[in-house]
Amino acid sequence: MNIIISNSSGQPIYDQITSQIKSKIMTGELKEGDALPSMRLLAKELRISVITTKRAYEELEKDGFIVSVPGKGSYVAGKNLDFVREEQLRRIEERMQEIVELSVGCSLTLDELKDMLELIYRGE
Amino acid sequence: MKSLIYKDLVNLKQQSRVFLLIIVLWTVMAVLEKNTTFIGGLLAVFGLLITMTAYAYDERAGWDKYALTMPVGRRTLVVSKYVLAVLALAVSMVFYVAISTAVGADLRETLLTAAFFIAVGLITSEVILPVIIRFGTEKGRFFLITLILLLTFLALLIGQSGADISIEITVEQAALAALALCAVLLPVSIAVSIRIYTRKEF
Amino acid sequence: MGNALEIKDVTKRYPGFTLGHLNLELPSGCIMGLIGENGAGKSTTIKLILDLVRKDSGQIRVLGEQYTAENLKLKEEVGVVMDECNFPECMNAGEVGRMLKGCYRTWDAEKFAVFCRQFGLSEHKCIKDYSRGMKTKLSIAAALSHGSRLLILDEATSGLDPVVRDEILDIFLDFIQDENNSVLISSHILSDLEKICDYIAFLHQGRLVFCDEKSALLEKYVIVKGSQQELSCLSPEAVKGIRTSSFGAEALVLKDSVPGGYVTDPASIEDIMLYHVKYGGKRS
Repeated sequence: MNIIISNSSGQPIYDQITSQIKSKIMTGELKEGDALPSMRLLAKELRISVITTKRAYEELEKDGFIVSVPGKGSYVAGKNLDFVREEQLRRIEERMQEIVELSVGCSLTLDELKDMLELIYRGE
Repeated sequence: MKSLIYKDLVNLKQQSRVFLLIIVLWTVMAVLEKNTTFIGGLLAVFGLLITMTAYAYDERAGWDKYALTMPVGRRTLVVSKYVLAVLALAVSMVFYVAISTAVGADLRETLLTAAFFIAVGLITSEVILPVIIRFGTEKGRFFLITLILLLTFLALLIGQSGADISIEITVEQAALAALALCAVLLPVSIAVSIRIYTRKEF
Repeated sequence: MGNALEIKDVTKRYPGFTLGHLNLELPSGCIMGLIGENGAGKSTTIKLILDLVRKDSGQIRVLGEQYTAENLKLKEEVGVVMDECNFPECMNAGEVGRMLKGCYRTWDAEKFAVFCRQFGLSEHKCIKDYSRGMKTKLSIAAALSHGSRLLILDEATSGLDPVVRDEILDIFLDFIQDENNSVLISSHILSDLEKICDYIAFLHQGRLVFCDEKSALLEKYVIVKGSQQELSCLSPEAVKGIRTSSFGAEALVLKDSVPGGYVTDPASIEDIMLYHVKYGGKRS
């Protein structure tokens, strides 16, 4: 499993870890029941603070993506389909927001935007 | 404690050639002079020198600072220096007895003289060690040189003081007196040294 | 888990310098970096922890206990590396091992041998022929070869080249894999501390300026660059220090209070320290 951290991206490091693990879970790279590296090992290998990895894992657990068993480690939680879908919808909404902002910025009308969307969707 | 002595011995090993040379030289002198009492005094001083040299090595390496972070109490560190002093004197006296008997001196007299010198050497250590612990080896050296002169003077006096019998009595009494003083001073010296060392900041 | 180190209200007075009312906690399983300019009190703090100097007031608890000269059991669990190698110069690694075996009940001769091999310290070479890096490695090998749960390092890596330092940092990270182990390291080499520390404590003129999580520190501040006029528009409480040059100015500012449109750069630990010490309080 690869986790790539950027120190200069502006995004907090724990957030980068959280997003990357989340997307691996959603794409299936990490399957239900897979063991995650220990917080300390991850901290050491990435050369970051163990407090950061701890926070990332806590966030992931809070959002239901992983389960931490004291003394044993952390594992990918059972896929809750609704939950995953909700996450994906959230991401789509985020990008839509971006698209709308850009469109307004260059005076694209809603109909023009819909046409573009249809072309791209059908093109898939 | 054993490890501390081990460390001192490893440090002193560097000087072993010099030590050996000195002993050979004095042996030759003793054989030529047929007077070993003088050598006894020198050997006692020599024993003291070993203690001081060991301490100087420690100072140079900044050893105490580190040693105090080891599971070794301040008391043990102090006592180990006394143990080294006793060992050094005992060893130098073995040489003295060996040289004396080789030269043909009377065994009993030699042993008594040896006891006397060990005691005097120890008394000197008992006086000097607290000084070194408090002020360091540089100042301790001044003290030692003064005491060497005194001891040498004393040794010469004893070596030249009159007839056989009186020497024997004197030596026996001297030995006993010295041993007694030594025994009395030892706990006092150790206590003072421990007190100084406990207060010391590094 | 408890704290590996607790310093409560400690003061130490010297003529001309006071280390004052120090309060510091090192949680177990973490690495804390102690930074500050020369004379700020870092070494004094470490000496106070190790009972090498006496404190004038306050309390210090190491691994939950009092670190005194006679608490031998505790000393087995604290490994110390000082800025100079304090072993006798004429000894070699083998003799050091033998000596320490007699001092520590928890001495692990095998572990020490492995470290020496890993560091390329031959058993028969005298310490006086060692390079500075080798001396430090020997001290570290010794500190890690008895039952240490707390490692204390006082400027142990100064004078080492980056390659050696990187090796050593890896060793500390390995040490921390066991969450019962903790490290306190004082250093001038802030880039090293930035790499491995969980907490950074900053001492300045005998006082603790801050002790924060490293990642929080790095996310909290930002370097803003612009003209002196532009920078003067920033809220004064958010600006921790300003450096002016003939072509503009730079300031250390709380990230959250920087509006858009300014040129910003991430702040390093070194920046944070320098702006506090050298450029702090100055306003153009």
